[in-house]
This record gives sequence, structure tokens and C-alpha cells, in this order.
Amino acid sequence: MQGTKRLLAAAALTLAAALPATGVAAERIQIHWWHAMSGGLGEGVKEIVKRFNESQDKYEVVETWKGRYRHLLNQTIAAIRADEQPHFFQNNETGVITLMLSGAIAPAEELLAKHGVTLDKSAYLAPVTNTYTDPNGKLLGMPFNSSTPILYVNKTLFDRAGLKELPKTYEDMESQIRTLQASGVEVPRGGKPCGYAFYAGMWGDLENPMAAHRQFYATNNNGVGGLDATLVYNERGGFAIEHMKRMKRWLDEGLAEFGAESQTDWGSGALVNFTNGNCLFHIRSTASHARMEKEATSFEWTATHLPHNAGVTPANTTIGGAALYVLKGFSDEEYAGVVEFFNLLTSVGIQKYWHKHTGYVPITKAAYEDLKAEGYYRDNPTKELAVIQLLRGGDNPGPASRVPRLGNFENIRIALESELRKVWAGEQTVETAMDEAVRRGDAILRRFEKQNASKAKAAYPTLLQ
Amino acid sequence: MLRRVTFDGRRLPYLLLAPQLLVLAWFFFWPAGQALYQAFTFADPFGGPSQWVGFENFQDLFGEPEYREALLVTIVFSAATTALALGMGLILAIFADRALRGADGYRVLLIWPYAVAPAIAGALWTFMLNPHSGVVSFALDKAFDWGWNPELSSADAMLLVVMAAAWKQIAYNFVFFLAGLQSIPRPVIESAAIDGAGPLTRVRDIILPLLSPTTFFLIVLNIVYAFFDIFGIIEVTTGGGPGDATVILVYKVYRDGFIGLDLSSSAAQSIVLMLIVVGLTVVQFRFLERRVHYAA
Repeated sequence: MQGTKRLLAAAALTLAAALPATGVAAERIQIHWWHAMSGGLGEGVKEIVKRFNESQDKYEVVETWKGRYRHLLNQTIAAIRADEQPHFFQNNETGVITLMLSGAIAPAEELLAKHGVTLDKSAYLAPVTNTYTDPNGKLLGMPFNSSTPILYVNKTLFDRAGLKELPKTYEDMESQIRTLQASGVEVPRGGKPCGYAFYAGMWGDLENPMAAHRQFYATNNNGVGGLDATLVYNERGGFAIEHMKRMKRWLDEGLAEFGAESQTDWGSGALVNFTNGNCLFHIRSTASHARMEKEATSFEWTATHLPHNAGVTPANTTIGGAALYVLKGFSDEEYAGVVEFFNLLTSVGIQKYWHKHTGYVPITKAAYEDLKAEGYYRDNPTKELAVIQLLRGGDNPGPASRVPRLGNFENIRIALESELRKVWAGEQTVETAMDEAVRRGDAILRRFEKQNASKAKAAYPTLLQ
Repeated sequence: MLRRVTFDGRRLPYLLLAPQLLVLAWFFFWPAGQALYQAFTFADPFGGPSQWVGFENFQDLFGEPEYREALLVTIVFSAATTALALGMGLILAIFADRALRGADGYRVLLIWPYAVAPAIAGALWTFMLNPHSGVVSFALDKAFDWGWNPELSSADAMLLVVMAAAWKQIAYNFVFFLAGLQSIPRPVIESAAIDGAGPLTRVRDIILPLLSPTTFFLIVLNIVYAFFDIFGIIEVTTGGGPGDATVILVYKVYRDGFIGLDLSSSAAQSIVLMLIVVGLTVVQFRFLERRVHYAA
């Protein structure tokens, strides 16, 4: 008994000694940020948070990586239901309508205004703000990481094949691939070089080219105008059908090779094929600069604009990436901290750091001008491609040149990707695939409309007209 | 085999059962009840008010061609995985049952795969069977000119998932079959051998009937495994592709509920799935169990 008493006393003393130490340090108000940025992107997030925490002593932003966007969203939803939500979280461009109707978001522009910050939307790149703007013209989520697809080129193979000018059009790409394959240039895996490493990502291989070619994905201005939108990308003779037929022809003629998107990381079989040095071209996000730098080390690579059809002046492409959504249920003092963090996020210094570190575009025009002025793009011309593409529409991008705003857009994309996969496997034609995908997608849209009609009526009645 | 244990009074038995019942209530009955409720409403993923819609979710569901296809795929998968896993498990157990040198070693190695989580198993198999860089793909192409590609060929993708799923389950079945085999009295087999019964006859006429309680138990469990647990493998390998060829019912529940946030449809699918599995199990107990030979 004596021994036990001593042991208990010792334990109690240790605890007592330890507690004050932890108590004094944590006086800051904690702000929780849940995000989906891993790897090099995650390092960028940590750096930004570190800079914010060191710049003041009232707030402490705590960032937590929660997996990919869809897993992050599910966890956030579970947290909202359990009243344990973070102050803000990151969600991508496919979830805008869901979050808009959720009733759980504290809209960004309103929040900023309440804390004395007027948001000047014209200071931002237009495609970025209009993706996250609600039907009343107010910014719902705070833009953070925005990207657009570009065309990566294996410069080593390009030069060895005797090619001179980087391709502007899909027609250029095709003839350059043929030149390469006829030239006898060798690739690491042996055999014929692969021309275009194709993973049939809907965002880079269909949605963005559609935007650049001003083709509508859905009615109601790509879904922005109302919940009763229907899908129209299967329009006969439209860009989408013709382009997918071209991809099928490239696959059949050996000009392109298919390598599916990976289930476990953000890559694809096509990306691996490209970074191994076997392929001439690959379309991927500008945010993959870091990845290319790390993985495409056995050859020289460069990039150029997302291609378009010959004879067409391309419009702006659309964004990928995500925005930061603030959740309801916190005190004014905490929201003031969030606003302070957003101020830092949109400052030129942080924008420049984030852009240089990741390849995501600088979302403010001021940051872009500053980068140009300091000559950054002279040494890093590929990083400017995305911004130029996004600025093509000026402050008023055309109604078809925007991210579709559709309910359950992830599954609509999956339906199309899935039907097109059967085309690559030779099991059905492009027309059948796209019609089937439209049928499936429309069913998904009607269910979304049914389930969200009452929420829309309360928040945004114009969506129901 | 069937011994009965009796308790005096009721308090102690209920007390001992209480933790298990609590777990069942918390983790099964409550969520199942919620799913039942959500299946008849338009549920708001964010926890807001829901709207009663009766059978509308089920109507939409049964009208979807994709749902019927998922049902078909599930039947094919379950049958293939169960047959392969049971068959291989039994064969390996019969071999490992013999008094060979190193038999213990074989048994341990054969049991290990069961400890591997489905997602990891999927990742391992994906890696080996990767059409661009996998060892097995390379071998298949070299030996049979197969052109192995689970990214494009639905048959290859199904084969990949069945192999990965069965591989894990063979270990589980092996353990039970081995135990079952070892409880068969040696004298019975020996006297059959003396009477001139060859190995195959012994298996067919003696071992299989005496093993039938174990086999029945394993059939029920394997089918449940095939219906639910291979979700992990599918999510990590094919993601339901190519072209939805590997979308089984439980995967569709995930895709519609967690990717699509259509909780109502997902709940309706869960209810139907539960009824299917319950139905299957009832059928097995009613019809298969008659043929099970329990030792007196």
C-alpha cells in the first residue's frame, strides 16, 4: 500500500507540473482549416499557415489534411451534423451548387463585408470568381487554388524528331506525332514512341476544350441559370462528339495511348508513361508543374497552351482546383480571424509564393502584374500559360466558357467517363456513349432537382424559374 | 456436436449478452433504422429537414438500367469469388491435412493472406497486374499474348477483382476447412482406404459429407463477404470501371451516397441489398441445411 500511495502521489505531481505548461501557451484563438492538399501542395499550405501564425499573435490557424476532395467533403458533412465542423474547408469546383443550397455556408463576400473588407471582384481573374459566385452575384467561397489544363511536351523527343514549333492545334499535334513516329527516334521502353498520353480526364480532355470552343455542356448557361438544366454535350456535329471521335481515331491509329486515372494517387497510367519519357504530349493541370519537376527527370520538358481546332480563335478555358468555404456556427471573433487569414491569402506576397511553389495561378491581377514585372515569366514561361488562357475572356467570359454548375456533377462526369471508356475499349460508338451518358446524367440532374427544389426555393428562387 | 449449456435464472445470461446486444443496437439497428427512414424520404446530407416521399426513391432506383446491371455484376462476382475461394480453400486444406514434413509451415503461410486488409490486397494485385508495369501482366502477355488490360477490358477487370477477393478469402476458408478435416475421425478414413476406396472416392463419400456443416457455414459467410467486403478491393483497383463493369451493389451504394451525396437513393439501395442478403441466407438455411450432415 505504501508503494502504491507513493506511485499515485508521484503521478499526481507530474500531471500538476505538466498542466500549467500546456495551459499558458495556448491563449490564441484556434481556427481550423480542413484541406485536400498533400505532398508538395501540402508543404505550400503549411508554409502559408506558418507565415500567418507568425505574423500576429491573436489567432492560430490549424491546418489538417483530410484526403481528397470527396473524402474531405464527406468528413466535413459528418462534422457539420455532429456540430464539430472546422471554421473553413476546401471544396472543388464541382461542389458549388451543393454547397450553395446546403445552408451550412457563411458566404465569403458577406462575411468579408461584415468585417470591413470590401471584395472587388474585378481585382481577380474572372473565371475564378464567376465559378464561385451565387445567382445574386455574391462570392460564395473564397478562391484559393485555381488551375487550368495545359499541354506538356517532351522537348527531348520533340527536338530529336526535328520538330520546330510547339503545336497550337490538335491538327498540329497529330502531324507532329506522325513525324515523331516516322523518324525512328527511340524511347526508354523501346518500340514506337507514344504520341499523346491520354487518360481521358473529362476536365482536361473534354470540358476545358469545350469551353475554349464555346460549346455548351448543359442548358441554362451550363446550369448556372436554373436547376432544370439538361445535358447537351452530345449535340451532333458539336465539338465534344467530334473531338472524342478524334481521340478514338488517335487510339486506333496508335497516335495516342490510353492509361487510366489512378485510384490511389492523383496520377494516371498516361502520366507515368509521359514522365517515363515515352510520350511526346500529355494534357494535365498547370498545378502539375511540381509533379513534372519531380518525376519527369530523365528528359527535358516544356509546356504550351491547351490545343484547339484549326481555324478557331479559342476562348478562355475554365478552372479546376478549389475554394475555401466558411461554415456557419462560429463567433464574430473567430470569423474576424478567418477574414484576417483570407486577407493574407489574397495578398500579393502569398499569391506569388503559392504560384511559384505549386503552379496554381495567381488569382489576383495585382499578383500577376507583379510577377510579370519582376521577370518571373522570362525564366518560367510555362507558368504563365494558364493565366493567359484564363484571361482570354477578359472580365466577361462567354456563357459556355465556364465550369458547368450541375448537381451531383461528380457522378455526371463519372457516367460520361465510364461510357467513353467503353468506346476506347471498342465496345460502342462515341455517339451511343454520349447519348447514354446524357441519359444517365439527366436522370441524376432530375433527382438533384427534386431533392433540392425546396432548398432552392428558400435561398435562390431564380433557380426554379 | 450439439451440447447444451444451461444457466439457472435469467439475470446472468442477459448481463453477459448485454455488451454484444448494445453493440448490435448501436452499430447495426440504429443505422439500419436511419437507413430505412432515409429510404422513404429525400434526406438532406447536411442534416437539414427531410421530406417524406414514400416509394419514390425505390421507383427511381428500379427504373435505372444501371441498378439492374449492378445486380447482375454482383451475382456473377459473388458466384465466382465464392466458388473459387471455397474450392481452393478446400483443396489446400485437404493437402495440408496430411501428415507431411513442414505441414505446419504451409499452414501458417496459407493463413497469412487473411490478415491483409482488402484495400491493401487490392493495391498489391493492382501493382502486379498493372497493364503498364506489372509483373503478372508481362508474364501473361509473353506466355499467352493476352494483351492484359483491366483498364479497358471488363473481363480482365472482373478477373482481377475476383482473383484479389478470392485470394484473401481462401485463407479464411482454409482455416475452417482444416479444422473441420481434423475433426473427422481417422479410423473412418482408414477403414475406407482399407476397403479399397481411392482418394477421390474418400473425398466424395466420406470427407465432403462429414465436412458439410463447415461447408454450409462457409458458403453463407463467403457470399456475405462477396457482397460487401470486396468493396475495398474494387475502390482501390478499378473504381467500378471500366465502364462500370465492376460496379457491384455495395459499390453503387457508396458512389451514389458518398460521391453523389444522394443519401436517399443510397439508403434505398442499402435496404434492398440487406433484403437480398437476408433472403439469400434464409434460402440457404431452408434448403441447403437439409443436406448438411451433423454428427450426432
